[in-house]
Amino acid sequence: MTDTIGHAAPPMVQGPRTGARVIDRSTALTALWFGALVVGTWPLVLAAAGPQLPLVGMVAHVAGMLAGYGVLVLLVLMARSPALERGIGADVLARWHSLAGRWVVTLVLVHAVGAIAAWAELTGVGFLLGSWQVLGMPAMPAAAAGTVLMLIAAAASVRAARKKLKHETWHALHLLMYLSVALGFAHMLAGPDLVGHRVLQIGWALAYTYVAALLLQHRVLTPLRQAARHRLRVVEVREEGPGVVSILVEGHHLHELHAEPGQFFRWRFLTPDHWGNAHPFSLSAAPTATTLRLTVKALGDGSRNLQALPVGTWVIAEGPFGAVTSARRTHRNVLLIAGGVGITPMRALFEALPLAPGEDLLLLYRARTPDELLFRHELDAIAAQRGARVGYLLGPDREPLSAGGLRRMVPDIAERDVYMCGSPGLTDAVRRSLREAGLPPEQLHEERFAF
Amino acid sequence: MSGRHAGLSTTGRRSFALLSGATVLGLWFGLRAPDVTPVALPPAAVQVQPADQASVAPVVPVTPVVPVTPIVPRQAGGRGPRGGDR
Repeated sequence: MTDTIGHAAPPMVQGPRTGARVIDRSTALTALWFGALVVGTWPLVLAAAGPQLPLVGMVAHVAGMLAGYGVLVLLVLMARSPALERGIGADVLARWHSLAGRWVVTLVLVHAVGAIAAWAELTGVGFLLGSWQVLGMPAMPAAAAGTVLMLIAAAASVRAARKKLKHETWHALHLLMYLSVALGFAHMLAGPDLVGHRVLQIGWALAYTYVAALLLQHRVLTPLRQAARHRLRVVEVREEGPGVVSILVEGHHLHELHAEPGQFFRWRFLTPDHWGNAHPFSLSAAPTATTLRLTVKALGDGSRNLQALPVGTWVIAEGPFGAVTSARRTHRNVLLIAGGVGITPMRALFEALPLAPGEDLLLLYRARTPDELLFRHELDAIAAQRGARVGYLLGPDREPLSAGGLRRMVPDIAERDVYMCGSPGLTDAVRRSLREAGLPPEQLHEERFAF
Repeated sequence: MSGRHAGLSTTGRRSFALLSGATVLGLWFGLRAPDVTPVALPPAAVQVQPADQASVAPVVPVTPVVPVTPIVPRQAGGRGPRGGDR
């Protein structure tokens, strides 16, 4: 362990990317619900003007249109568009994606069952024979295969199943969704709600190709371009504590990334074990023009293998992502709360958050034992250098992080910005304490991850 | 031109190319989409009564049928029929 702060190169003084377009949460939600309203209403308008359909057929039409729209939303949420990642936050996008995914799978099933039931009712055949007849229609075998793939991906994402699967396996299964969407695309354009309306067919197709372009740009082309431009390589792997290592990555033109303390990258280490997966890890030190540092705790197979990452490994870093930066700050005094390995983004903020004379910066760092404390020397040195304060909360007792405990340690807590990162259990408890202690919700800045 | 400006213009060109490609592809898919849906539900079944001689009533036209005067073809170089010439 070293006593130095940061690295040989000075921390970057360049601020956040200026003029970058950002889509905030309320704008995104308004657009999302408006789109759903329009798409869901269209089959009803058509039905009112056309021949009468049985109720189950109407339900199938509305569910089908909403499912097609929902797939677009799912893809946009995971496109890693900087406008969404910065404005909404990767954690919120991931939660919306998870929630929307459940709705889409349900809508697809309702659409399939409803359409077959309506067919069976109108042709006077049974459900099984109706299924067979519907499957024999043009573009239907592909759509049915796509539905099966979607169900497999969805099943792999159910919490109980995901706990049993390796992250790499889950990821591979989840990628089946792209194939599923491609297989169902022809069926969407041939659906009775779009056929006969050439403008709508073109609009629907354009929506899908634009989203595909968005994915291609931010998930493939930008990382490849960044890899070629920055040529990142691992230059040091340093043990910070039991099962925890810091990985120092060196590269070129890193100031162009406009990375900020508090943000994270998705790191793809180009070794046989890791090239297929991008792991999200926060910066654990303020980025410099030539170096980035991440700190990894061995939690699963992937992060455990990273402990023995060879120096010289090439790295592709996608990002930066994350909205919990100094840009969120609205008050003069700041409280940082970290638990366990959640110290990583807090350490970077502690090092680089602007601190004017008369302002107070306090870091509360909770760990069960002194051995579990990471960066202790670095934190003490930063505190001494910047005139900031750091408090270590050790032991099994969480009382210091109760509402009363927080008020005792930080009497002006309601007048501060609070940044927090830690395990879900800890952050849930502290969030309640902060609310009880009178902190307005808009002054709490956190990104919740449970990788 | 600075490196940053060069980078921006390259990024702009790349985005424009990607957007153009997506537009062409979207138009192509949209224009090639079928005109008739292959998954249309069949029209609701209508119960038809069997034809019965007794139930068939002769249709009497409401207005008297007037024989249509054949149109006289226009003669070459001459004038066609006019209402006042009949």
